[in-house]
Amino acid sequence: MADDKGDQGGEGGGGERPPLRRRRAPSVVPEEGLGEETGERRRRLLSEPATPAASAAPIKARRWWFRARSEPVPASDLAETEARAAAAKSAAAELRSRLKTEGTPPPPGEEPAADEPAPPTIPPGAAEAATAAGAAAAAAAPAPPRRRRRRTTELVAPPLWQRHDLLVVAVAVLLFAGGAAGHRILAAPTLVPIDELGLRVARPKNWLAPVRVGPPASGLAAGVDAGRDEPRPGRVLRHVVYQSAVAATARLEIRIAERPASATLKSALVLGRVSRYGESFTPAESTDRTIGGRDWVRTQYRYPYKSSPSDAPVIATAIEYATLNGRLMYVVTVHGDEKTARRLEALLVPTLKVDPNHPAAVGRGGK
Amino acid sequence: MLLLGLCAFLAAAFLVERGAGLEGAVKLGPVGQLAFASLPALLWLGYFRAQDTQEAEPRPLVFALFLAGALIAGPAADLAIQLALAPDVAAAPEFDRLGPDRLLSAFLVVAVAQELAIYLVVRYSVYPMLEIAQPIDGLIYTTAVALGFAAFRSHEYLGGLHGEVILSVGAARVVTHTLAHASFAAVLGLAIGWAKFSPYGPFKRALVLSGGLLGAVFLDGLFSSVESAIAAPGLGFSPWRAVAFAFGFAVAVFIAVSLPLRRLTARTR
Repeated sequence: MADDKGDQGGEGGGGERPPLRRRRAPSVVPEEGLGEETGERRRRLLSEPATPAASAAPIKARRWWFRARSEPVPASDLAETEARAAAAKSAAAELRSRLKTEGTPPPPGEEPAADEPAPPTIPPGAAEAATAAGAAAAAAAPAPPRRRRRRTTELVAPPLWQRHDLLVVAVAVLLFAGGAAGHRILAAPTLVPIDELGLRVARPKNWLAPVRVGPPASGLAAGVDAGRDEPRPGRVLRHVVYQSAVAATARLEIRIAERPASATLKSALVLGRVSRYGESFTPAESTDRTIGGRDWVRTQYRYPYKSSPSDAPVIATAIEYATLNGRLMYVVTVHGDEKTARRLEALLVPTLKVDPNHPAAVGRGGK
Repeated sequence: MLLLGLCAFLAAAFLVERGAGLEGAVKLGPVGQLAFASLPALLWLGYFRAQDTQEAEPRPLVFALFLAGALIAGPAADLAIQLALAPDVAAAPEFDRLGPDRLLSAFLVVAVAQELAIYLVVRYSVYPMLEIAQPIDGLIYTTAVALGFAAFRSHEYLGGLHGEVILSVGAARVVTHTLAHASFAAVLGLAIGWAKFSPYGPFKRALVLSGGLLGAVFLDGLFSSVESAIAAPGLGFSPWRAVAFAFGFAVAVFIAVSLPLRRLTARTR
């Protein structure tokens, strides 16, 4: 607590303390604190005796890897250390002077610099006296107590993952990843297969019941002339829409018509889109894709859409897949906003399959 | 005192609504949304700081952590949750509030993301600093981050309504968020304070921290699951039930936390 008060720098008059400098952790080194004159941290010199209070209390460091208790150094140890240091100094000076007198140049590392002050000369008998004094002090001092050997593992800084408690983060991240994976498994959509005139595709199970789509108003549309009894090329055989229960624009549309007699597949598709949306849809380039060993024409386009007559129109995206199978033309379209349409495409299009031997496709009924 | 302050906030919202004859929603501007979302959290923050009677924490640091909770932990947790729980248009709509999918996402996705974000902010900002000088300091700083997080969630809620909020309902939701996150943070902060002043090695310390984090995650998941079932039974919505539940929940958690906190504080003195 004395250190704590010293750290406050004499602001104990009840004034506002400076922020972020509230308290200082108790120092590991005894007698270390702020000096009264300079205000700087003062370190106790080895020549100064330790105060009884400081030497009595064991010192605990806050950091766990410095947890070993350092024992106070007895005064006899200090005297012995200083005596030995003085003896070593004097022995070195004596050796240097002997080498000079014998004419042997001193080693380069020991050559004193020209601008450095000369080392204090030691009288010839001083070294022996100091050595004798050191020996006497060592003999007079009681044997130092046996020191507890500090474990070396406490001196080595722990690895990064221990210092930063990364184990906790790893456990939490694993839990999060497990939860996300579990949620993905539990919330995975269930698909139900549809088989319509040789076309097999899956649809989400929880979507609404299919709604049959009537022919468009335009005379250009295939099969618009429903009044005629005899079959005509391009007649629509099935046209249903599956609607999502939660997203108004998310739909799966299946249209099965007779093979166009007087046009290619792509031109027939363009004609059908113009018939339905007029000029308000944005045409897109068609590309060919192979799914389940059969070539499909993929076309992505956008169009204005109203889920009910009172709704404001929104821009919907459609991704259309079309192929020919004998006498039939299959068109499977997923609708939604762009993200939804792409998600439905990734989910449903891989399930597309065509039965080439279906009676309706080879012209043996099955309508 | 704090509970009175929160009650006063709720009562003020209710009285303004009734006194001014506001039938529907009130339009709040950006500043109004910010103030409305932050006021209960700031009340809590003042309360927690006042609880630290021995040596109050420095205001700038506490406020900086509040901001870190609102501007770092909140968006980070939100992003992680959105990535993990991206809605699938083809998935079946989930109506069962206590179904396995809801519980799994509440406990292991939402709660883990929220509490982990709060933990990360505290552990890697203020935890190594000397400012945490007592175990209760860990609780105070963790609560500051959690209250910032609650303010972010409240602001997100108001933003989702495009600023058009029924005052009493909005106040109830904001107070509920605040109470809930403050109580989760009490458990996490207790563990952080304990770990900081424990003489344990790295594994035991990690166990203490993990225990606190998992405790906060459990409380978070439990609260959100039960609160959604209580506040919205069937197709209706009654926010006052959620507020009452949040008050009871917070009181229970704080009583439970205060006992080990006292023991821990006495041990470290």
